[in-house]
Amino acid sequence: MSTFTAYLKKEQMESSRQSKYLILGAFFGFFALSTPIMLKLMPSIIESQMPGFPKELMEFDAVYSVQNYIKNIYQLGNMAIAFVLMGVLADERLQGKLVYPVSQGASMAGVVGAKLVHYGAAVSAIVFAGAMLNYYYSVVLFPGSDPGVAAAARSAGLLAAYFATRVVIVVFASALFAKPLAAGLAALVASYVEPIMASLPRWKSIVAYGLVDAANKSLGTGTGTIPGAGAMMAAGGKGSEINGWVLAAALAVQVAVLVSVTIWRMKSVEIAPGAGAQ
Amino acid sequence: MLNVEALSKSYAQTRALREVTFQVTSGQVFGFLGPNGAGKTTAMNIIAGLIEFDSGTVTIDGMDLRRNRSGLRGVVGYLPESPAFYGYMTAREYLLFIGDVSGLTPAANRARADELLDTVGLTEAGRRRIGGYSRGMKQRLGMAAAIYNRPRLLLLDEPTSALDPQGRLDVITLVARMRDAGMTVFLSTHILADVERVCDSVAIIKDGVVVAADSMARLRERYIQPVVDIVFDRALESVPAEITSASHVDRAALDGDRLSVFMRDLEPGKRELLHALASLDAGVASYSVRQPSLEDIFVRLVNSR
Repeated sequence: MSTFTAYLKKEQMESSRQSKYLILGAFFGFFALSTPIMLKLMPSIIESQMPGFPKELMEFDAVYSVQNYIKNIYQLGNMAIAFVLMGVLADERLQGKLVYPVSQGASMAGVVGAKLVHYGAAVSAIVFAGAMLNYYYSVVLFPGSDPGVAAAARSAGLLAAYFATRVVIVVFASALFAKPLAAGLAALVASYVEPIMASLPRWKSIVAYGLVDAANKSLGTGTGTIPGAGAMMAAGGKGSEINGWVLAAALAVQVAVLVSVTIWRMKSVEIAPGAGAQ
Repeated sequence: MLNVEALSKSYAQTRALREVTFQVTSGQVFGFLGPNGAGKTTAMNIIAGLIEFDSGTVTIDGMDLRRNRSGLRGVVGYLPESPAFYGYMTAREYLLFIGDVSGLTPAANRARADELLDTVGLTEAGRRRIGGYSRGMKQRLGMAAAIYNRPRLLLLDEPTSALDPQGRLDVITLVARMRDAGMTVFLSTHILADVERVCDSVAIIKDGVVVAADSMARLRERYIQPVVDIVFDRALESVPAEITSASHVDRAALDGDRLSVFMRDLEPGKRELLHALASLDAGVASYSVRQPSLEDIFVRLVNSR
């Protein structure tokens, strides 16, 4: 327990002094604000570029704006989290920073647990705050189609839960690979493969991407058109239904397995400076 | 305290350690010497429980390292050659972090951190971030972190290599104090003068093989060939036959008026040599028995195999 609390304090200090909170907060905040603003400005931009284009084809509502944010942040947020956290274990191992704590009796379960809890909580809080900020601006800029605070909070919560699972994936990859970049890329590949898996029958209820899908659907059906993008976007209304209990149970099992393998890997790997680089 | 038996470790095609065997007695300072790449750091990483080994046994305080890895952590303190810290922390914060990991109470932790910062001479710098420290300052902080929870066995890998002469002296004095306090110290260094100053026993390793391991006194007895240096009052043309024919003299080297006589056995050889010198017609300006050094043993052992 002493290792867990010591590393929890250490991770808070590190994130604060290395501006990790600031980077992630600015990233999610920027897209939370810019997505509805860009949607609002889009008709004027298109009109200036294509005079005579019928403006009525570019009408958006708040639900569409929030769903558009979810779509964007799924792609970009994964990158931000992978690249900010890719060295969370790999760097410590490669640079020999675990030598003193381990030789003083630190437990790997405590080290891994503290990192997961800290970054899981921090990322969830930032994602939730970003999604609520996006909801607020979407309603301000597109009045008349408010999905409601409860639905927005539920959607934001599901999105936060999704990104918490990404923290588990990145930490797992960081234990698996000695090179931080390799860990970040592996985590990204895993995250981007999930939508393909989710498109298979019944798989949506057992992969974490189901949370993104559920976050979208919990807002209802949005309407809007992106000129040149082709089809009408009604992200909330498509695909098979997700069984919430099955998804929660499946994710709990996946997280438990990944955390166990991460701890096992960190216990078995050589942690002397430069040892075990691969 | 520490018993290493037939320890072997390979990295891909390289055999870093081959059947390494030595013992370290409790309360001793044990010097671990060898040229670069001999396997010293590998052995220390294994003893510290940081890396695995292929075969052999390591027991610390009677406990097998493989079976009691987690139990032995905390018993062993380790200062690596290039200690790595979190550069955004101050030295005091880092030591408090180590104390937190060790499970010290907050009050005991603060007291220990301040005590050790004072011990290693970092009290004033203790509130500055480690990222701005010199290598020597990091080495001192590493020493403080290594002894933070009062380990019974302290492993020091080249602790003085980055320090100025005063810093070296401070560390060696600290090592002697650790020994006096009952700690067993395992010291790897290239600086043989430091080993001579503080070590009770020594192992010399070359190409992953221990070529000698014994107390300093016994090593001197076994491996140092006694030499008598004689200066004559005039240059000699050749080594006098009276000296080369003496039964305890191994060989002699002449350089003008200076003669170095390598003895097989010093005590009877000295008497025999004095008789031989008395029979010469050349006067003796000085006569001295050369003090054997660890460097002589090291060079001889490392170059002989």
